[in-house]
Amino acid sequence: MSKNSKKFYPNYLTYPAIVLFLVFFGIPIIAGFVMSFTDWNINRLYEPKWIGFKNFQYLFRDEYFLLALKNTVQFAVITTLFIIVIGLILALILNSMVFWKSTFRTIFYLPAVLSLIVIGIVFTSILKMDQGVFNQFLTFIGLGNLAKDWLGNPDTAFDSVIVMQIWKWSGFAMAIFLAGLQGIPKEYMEAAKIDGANAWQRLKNITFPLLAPAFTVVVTMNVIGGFKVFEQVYVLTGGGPGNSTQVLGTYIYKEFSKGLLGRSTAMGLILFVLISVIGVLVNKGLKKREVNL
Amino acid sequence: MKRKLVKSLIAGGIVTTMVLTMAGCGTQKETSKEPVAAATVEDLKGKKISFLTSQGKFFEEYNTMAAAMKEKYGCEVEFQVVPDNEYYSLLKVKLSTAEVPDVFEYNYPTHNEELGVAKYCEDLSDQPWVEKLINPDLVKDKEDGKHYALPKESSSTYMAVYYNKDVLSSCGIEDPHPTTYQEFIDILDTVKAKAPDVTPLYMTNADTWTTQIFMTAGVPVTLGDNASNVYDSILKNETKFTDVPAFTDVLSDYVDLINGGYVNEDHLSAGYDTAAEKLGTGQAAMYLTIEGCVVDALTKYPNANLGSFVIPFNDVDMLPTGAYVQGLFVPSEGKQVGIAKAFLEAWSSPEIQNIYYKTKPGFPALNDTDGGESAECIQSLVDEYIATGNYTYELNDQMALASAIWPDLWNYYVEAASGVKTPEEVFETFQKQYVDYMQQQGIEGF
Repeated sequence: MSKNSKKFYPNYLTYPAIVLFLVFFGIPIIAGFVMSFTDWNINRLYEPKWIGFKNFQYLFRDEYFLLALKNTVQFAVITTLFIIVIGLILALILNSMVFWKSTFRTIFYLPAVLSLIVIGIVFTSILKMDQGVFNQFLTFIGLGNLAKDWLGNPDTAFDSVIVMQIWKWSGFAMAIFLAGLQGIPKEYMEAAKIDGANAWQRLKNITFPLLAPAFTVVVTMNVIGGFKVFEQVYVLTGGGPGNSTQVLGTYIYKEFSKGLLGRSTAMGLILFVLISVIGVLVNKGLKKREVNL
Repeated sequence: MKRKLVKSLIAGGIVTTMVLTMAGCGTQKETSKEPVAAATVEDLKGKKISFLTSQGKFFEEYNTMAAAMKEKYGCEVEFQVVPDNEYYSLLKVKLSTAEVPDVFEYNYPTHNEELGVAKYCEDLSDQPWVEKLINPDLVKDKEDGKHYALPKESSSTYMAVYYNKDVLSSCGIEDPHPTTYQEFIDILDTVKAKAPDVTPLYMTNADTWTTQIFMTAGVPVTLGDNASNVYDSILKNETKFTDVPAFTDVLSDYVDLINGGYVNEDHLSAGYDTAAEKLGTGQAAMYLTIEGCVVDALTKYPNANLGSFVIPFNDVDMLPTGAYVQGLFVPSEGKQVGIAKAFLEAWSSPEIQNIYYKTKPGFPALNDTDGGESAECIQSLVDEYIATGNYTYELNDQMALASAIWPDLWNYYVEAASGVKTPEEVFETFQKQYVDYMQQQGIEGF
């Protein structure tokens, strides 16, 4: 009997998937890697010339690329932090609720399933200066002097995008934390209570360590999602006003639209490396902290 | 041993992939200019024409025209409408790879060289509609004098301040015609003082193509007779943008309008699609734009009473206008080039063209098309400036080789409008980018 026939599913069943993976992921990645070292552009589609590290040298001197990089990192870090905190608080509250738990869970989770285009339109209506809901609310409560052009002001436009992202994904984080919380045996809490542990001690010494796998999932997903940010900026500000909300995703798209294919591929490569390295580091670091039940 | 073999295989695979990737890039399809089988409009029956255009160039009237084409000639038109900011790169890729539609629409003839139409598109000089052109000199290629596209208009893009007459009348201003820049500012001051609830000059900087109208209009007027020399010198890299004071002067004027409190507070987030309402309803007194906005405003607010005047940049009373119109090109590598030419012949017929101009009155390209009655405020510009030759072509068209990076410059204008950059910094930044871009394109002198 051959080695393969002992297995329930033979290895060769994976070959089509491997071919697809190579054709649509592996080869483009390698091709992108090569092309990022060329001056490939739309006017010389078939005559890319090898230019070594020139694209990378240009990019790290380009104030707008550096701005996009800074904004992207800022976006990933801030949104991840807030999504974790808000998601965790919501999960802890819902976990302790007896009534209306399902209703609130659905309400908080709802933004995660809405289309970003729809959310973009809604937030634009809320945040616009002329008859925007938020400015009207501020005026109504007597804080009309704080009303401003939230999406048109370079100081607040990017914050608005960040708020939209936090609003959209906090409910999703809540769902993961809630699942983690419900997996913690009640006996642990009861035993700790009998031993005299207060609420904070139970949270710190039982809940948090046992929630570590949930943290790993939430942090990894949000950090990677944060670095990949594109639609959120595209639908709300388009990278503006000026270039104030430019992130790597939108900047790559902009450069690609200009026909600078080699340069935009180099940016894509930088983003890919950034996401891979940070994703792996975050995941590895958090995995170490996980506790088995 | 086995590990070594696997390593060798992986390395070989990577190398092969790289080589194939690079080799694949070298297999350019040569564009052929073989004789095309002639076709007549009768041959259109049962044919499907792919028509590539962008969102900004596509109008609802095109669907009605396509329906009429189907009814009269039995051919179907399949519109492929691409987002504006992707259109240029997509079109370039399609032309380069010979994956082309039957016809496509683009700015004509200012972008001929940039697009490489002499290489990729059919010479249409022998087509029957050429002799019906009202303004053949505008649309023929500047290099070889050939006609490469069926134009839609005979001229277009009249950059002027379009105003709500009722609002200005209420401020005591009747038929304004400023002849100096200060007189223009005086009009703004009057509106600001007498109609505090009205925005004197509406701005829509969320759409940067509207921001740049002030610059693309103001710079050539300010440069005057020296304009073409300056453009030429910049295109040869003999002069820098920063060497020409007109660029920073005009941008400074723009920024001063904002700092002077003449514009809407939300000018950085307001978009072009809000302008027709503001102008039509009188919430804004004036808007610097092109005639399309007036057509929109009058369609939505038929009772709006609109007028127009030209901003006298540098105290010169001259109309800045586009050196281009929209043209329909036939790519040489199309699957049915003869049929595409026959399609243009049918598309150029008065029955089809009149459909467009019935709801969008204007200035048709062909002398047998009924352009309808243009809005009085547009017609007056044509009569006073175009007909008398008192006009100049906008900056963008004269430097079309760099048009792919204009949107970046327009973004920098917005940065100046928001106070992030000074006008000088705008052109310092853009100069570096311009040189880099021209180097990437392999333009001589860079």
